[in-house]
Amino acid sequence: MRINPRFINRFVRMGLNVQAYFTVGILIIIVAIIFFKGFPHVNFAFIFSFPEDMGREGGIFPSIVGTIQLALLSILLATPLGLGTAVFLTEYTKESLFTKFIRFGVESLAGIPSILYGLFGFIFFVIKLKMGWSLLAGVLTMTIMILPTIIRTSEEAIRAVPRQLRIVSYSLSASKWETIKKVVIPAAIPGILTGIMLSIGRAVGETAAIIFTMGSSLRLPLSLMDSGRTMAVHFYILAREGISMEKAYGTAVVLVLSILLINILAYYIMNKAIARYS
Amino acid sequence: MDRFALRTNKLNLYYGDFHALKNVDFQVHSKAITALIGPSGCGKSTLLRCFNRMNDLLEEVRIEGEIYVHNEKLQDIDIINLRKKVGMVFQRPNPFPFTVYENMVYGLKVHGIGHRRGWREIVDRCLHSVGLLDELKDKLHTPALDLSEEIKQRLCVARLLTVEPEIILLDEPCSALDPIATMRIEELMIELKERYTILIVTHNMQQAARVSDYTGFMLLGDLVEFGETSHIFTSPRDERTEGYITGRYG
Repeated sequence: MRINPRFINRFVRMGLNVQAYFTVGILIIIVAIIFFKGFPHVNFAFIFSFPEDMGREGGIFPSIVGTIQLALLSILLATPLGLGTAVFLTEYTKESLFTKFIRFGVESLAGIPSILYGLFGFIFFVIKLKMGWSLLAGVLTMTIMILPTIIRTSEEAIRAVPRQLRIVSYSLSASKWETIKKVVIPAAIPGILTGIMLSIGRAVGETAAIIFTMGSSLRLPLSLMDSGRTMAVHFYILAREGISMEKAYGTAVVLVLSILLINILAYYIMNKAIARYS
Repeated sequence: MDRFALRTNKLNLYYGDFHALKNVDFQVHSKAITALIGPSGCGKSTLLRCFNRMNDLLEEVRIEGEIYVHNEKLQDIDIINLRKKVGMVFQRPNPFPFTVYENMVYGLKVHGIGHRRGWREIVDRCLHSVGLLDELKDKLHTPALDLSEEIKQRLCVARLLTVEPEIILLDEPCSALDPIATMRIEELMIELKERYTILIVTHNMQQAARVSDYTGFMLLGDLVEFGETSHIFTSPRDERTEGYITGRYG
């Protein structure tokens, strides 16, 4: 028996629609539950005051600061390192066993579960290098974790810059490095920024690797050697140890809002960069 | 002033095993337009690219013979100075994906010419030379990629002029342009030859006839014939040249 193609068409279309709505639906449900449970607890004092009684009372100010410190510092470390690797792989090497090896390494790094990064950071930075639970150990671990993302996205962005632009630059007697610095990287900026933004998201949302390396101190980290906790870690501990579900959901709301804010900011910067460079 | 701005002596070029230029003896007269014509793959672009060493960017290129720029051996000229002296405009207009102004000051930045404050004057002068000043003076900070193809190509010429080259190589500069834009670029070339030596590679024989003072005809890596454009097009000595310009092949 032959099924009417028009029927199949309609059926497939409906199926695809359902799938798309399902995806968006899940996102909306998650955000709605978090907001429903947490929003009543979010206010000015919650954001700007210190936690009391292990977080049962008070606010989450130190963990907001900790989150910003961790994300900012790891991006500052990982971006030059990752961009440098990407430039090396695309501009200074020919495809060989060596580059394949590096790329394989990068891809493997991207696939490692974050708890293993945490374990590595704990054994190496915290214990072996005697950093203790500290912002520094957290930042270094996070840097290693987000490096693959930055390398891969930068590499793709650099590869997408037309070869012709490099040739013109050489014909205007620019050297290779000037060409990379003044033409290739500026032209690849939108793609590079995408990688940076994805990485910020990852740093803000990470828990496992952070608990092992940055610790979970409730105090405000004032130096690189201080322990501290990010919002995600704070949320995890409040919920996991049954300290206060209200405060946990309040923290989650702030976390979700800040990720939203980062994304909006990212789009804004990216559009500016794209308007300027393309 | 030297009679010849560019000169080759028994120039041979190989891409791997492929013999792309065969014993080419070629001259480019100063302050004149010289055209290179010939069917695809005859080596005319390859010859053009020898003069600013753009072939160096390709792998497995081997060059034998001599090339002179104003009687100075090409190998003796530092590559940065060579490419400043011998500038190039490409087939497709290729401004950088930046603003018009950033395109214009790129060469100035690379060569460290002048001061940031004096750049505007240089930019204006060079845009004026290519007839773009009125059109672009209010658009200096808009993206260069938004311009039309012809304006982009003119901008590429203007960008080149900022570093004050002596010789301009044009590699089929009109092949991506419509006939009206082509005409305007040709007029521009004729204006520029007062001050610059121009070597143009073109697919378009009529273009060579219209703009050039001297023409070289190439075929399969040989420079078959070279002379004044009027001679080449009216009374070619070689029958291969005649066959090409009368359209028997190509």
